Amino acid sequence: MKNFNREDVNPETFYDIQDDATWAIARMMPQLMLIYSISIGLLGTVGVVLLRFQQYSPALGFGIGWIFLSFAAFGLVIALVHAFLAYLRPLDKFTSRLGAEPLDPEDRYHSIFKNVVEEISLAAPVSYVSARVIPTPRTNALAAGDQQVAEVMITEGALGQLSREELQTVVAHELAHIAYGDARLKLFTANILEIFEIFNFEKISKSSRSVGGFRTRGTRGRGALVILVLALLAPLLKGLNRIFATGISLQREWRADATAVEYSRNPLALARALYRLGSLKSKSVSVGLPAPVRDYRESVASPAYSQLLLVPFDSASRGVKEISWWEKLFLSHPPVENRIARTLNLARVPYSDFKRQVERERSSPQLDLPALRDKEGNLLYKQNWWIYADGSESETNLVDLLSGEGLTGEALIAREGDEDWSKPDQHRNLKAIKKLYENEKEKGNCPQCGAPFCRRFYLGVPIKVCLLCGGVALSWRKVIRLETRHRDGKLPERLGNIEDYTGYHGGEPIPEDEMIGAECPDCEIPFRTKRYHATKLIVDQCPNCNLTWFEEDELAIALNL
Amino acid sequence: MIYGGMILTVLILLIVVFAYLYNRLVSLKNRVDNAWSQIEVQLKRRHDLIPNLVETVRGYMEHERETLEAVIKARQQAVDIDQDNLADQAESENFLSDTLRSLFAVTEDYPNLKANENFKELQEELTSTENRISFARQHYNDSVMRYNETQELIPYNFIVSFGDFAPREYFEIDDPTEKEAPSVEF
Repeated sequence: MKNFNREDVNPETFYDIQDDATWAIARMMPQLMLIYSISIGLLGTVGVVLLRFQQYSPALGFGIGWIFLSFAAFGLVIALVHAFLAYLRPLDKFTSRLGAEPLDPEDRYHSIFKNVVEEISLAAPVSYVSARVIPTPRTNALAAGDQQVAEVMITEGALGQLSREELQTVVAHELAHIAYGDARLKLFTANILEIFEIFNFEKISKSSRSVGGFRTRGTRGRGALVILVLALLAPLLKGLNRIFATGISLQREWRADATAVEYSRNPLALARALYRLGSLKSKSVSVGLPAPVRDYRESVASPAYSQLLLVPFDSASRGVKEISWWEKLFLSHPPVENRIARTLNLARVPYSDFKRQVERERSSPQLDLPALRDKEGNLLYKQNWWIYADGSESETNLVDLLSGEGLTGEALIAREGDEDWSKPDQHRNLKAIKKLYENEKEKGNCPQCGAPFCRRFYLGVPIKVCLLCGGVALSWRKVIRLETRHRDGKLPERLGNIEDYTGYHGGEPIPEDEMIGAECPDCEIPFRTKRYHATKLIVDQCPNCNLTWFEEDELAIALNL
Repeated sequence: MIYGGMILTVLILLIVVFAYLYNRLVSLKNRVDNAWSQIEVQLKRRHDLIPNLVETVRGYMEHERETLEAVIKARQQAVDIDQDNLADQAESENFLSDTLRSLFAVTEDYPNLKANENFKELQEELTSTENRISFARQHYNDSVMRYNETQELIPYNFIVSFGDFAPREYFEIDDPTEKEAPSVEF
């Protein structure tokens, strides 16, 4: 790595950034209180003015002023209720709204995440932190709570993308928000800001039509006038709302980045994490996405909540740039590139070196699931191998062989690629195979061949595999995990070109949502066919629990598409 | 009467300021103690994990008896050390870290061991523990820095003599590059 010239270095340290941001935040609070009182007060004022106006112009008719006043009062009441709710149980409401779930103790990545959260909370002045995962392929992270009870949430997408060190810095950033009370404040404001969504023009025009109160009272014109005024008012309020959210957010992000460096002492990893999360496009929506994930996308897209995230929802990389005062009013986060640049300066690493390091290709190991290996790593049995009971002339399958009596002898095995398959020459101790098989047996049977499942790990995800047919059963959560953790592996040669499976090029229409013979091992309902994303590949899915069944090789193909 | 009132007000003000500064020193001192206890918790965690690790690894590594014995010996030393002597304790823990690192370096030659799920789990736990120790140590050193620094600052250096506020010792390691924990790639 090159060294910086002494003249080029901006001698800033994370303590400097912390101090700058803290001072800026202190200056900002009075301004914010002003803006907030203006935005609620504005509605009230308009109401009062209209009431006055009505005296001179009775033609305006019944109480438009009152309508505005009641809007203002309503807004105030909702704000109070929300503030109260936010004060009472912010965590429950929030996690349920985002669809965050407890960690899967069997999943390797999840246990690493849990460890990392516990590690960093040692470096931060935070007493209890729980960790949750949001099952979505998008990449983001957020925190909620205060120094007593806090929660760090990360999406499966982010978990799959980040190395252990990068994960540490992301968690450190989130814990910094908690330590400084930002998380609590942001959640609080998010709850209050929700009231401004009432003033969303589209929603109002819809609801005023459906309520119909305006019409029964008289002319349509009056209702239209209300809508017109609100239409003018709505963007104004929305702007104020965003400025409010921004003022809370921008400097706190700088401070949290600096503090993440203080906790993790690893600015380079933070820069890498920001790069990965900020500039990567996550894969498209996964197969059979259930409700919680859609909810996550909707709630996170709303301006009230996007200020809570590690990287804002609509962040697109535009390169490092100066932020003008006007843009500052509307940004909840500094642009990701600016954050990366400032963090890299803390590490004293030039951007070119960083870029080379961060874009190094990583690839996942090949999928080698349906096999039995002993402690020394010797292959005892592999799917597609022919197996013969000792002395027997005819081939049998593994499960039948193992369920037989008197397992003392040896099995003869013919391997794939052997010259003469009918004359097996590989001896295997049946007892050893049986012992291994019993150890790795999982609950449930293969929907195709009825053999018990074996338990395997791929990319840290525990999955159920059938040793006979090579099929794999996965819940939709695990499909998301595998998709986000997998990085360009190579398709095994026998499967041919990946192009054969991508895209659908006319020809016979692919039958979708058709019932097939096999049943879901958990719900005992027949599977239905489902197209995997927008590809030629068809997988089977249980309509009840979304358990997805990948036949032999289908998983390897799906992950490489 | 007016003068009396003024003197009284100034006195009360002085007492309030004194109490505030004194309390701040006390809370900083307690933070240092708390940070120290965190290191001890994590060190104990490491001492408890090592026998498990040795047990798992033993079957695979017949030829590495010396390395394993070095780990066991280093652990025993770290457990037996006088807990009050900070420098000695730091030294024995650093020695334990060294032997663990050489153990993990040797495991690179045993692909079957590395593929073992049990070993992977243990290795992750140990990596995490090493990280916890260094984060706890970092937090302790940061707290000591804040505590010691505050004692030297101007209003506080007058207060120090009124209570039991001695500057604390850092938990140091010899070589900064040794701070790295064994890393795992999945």
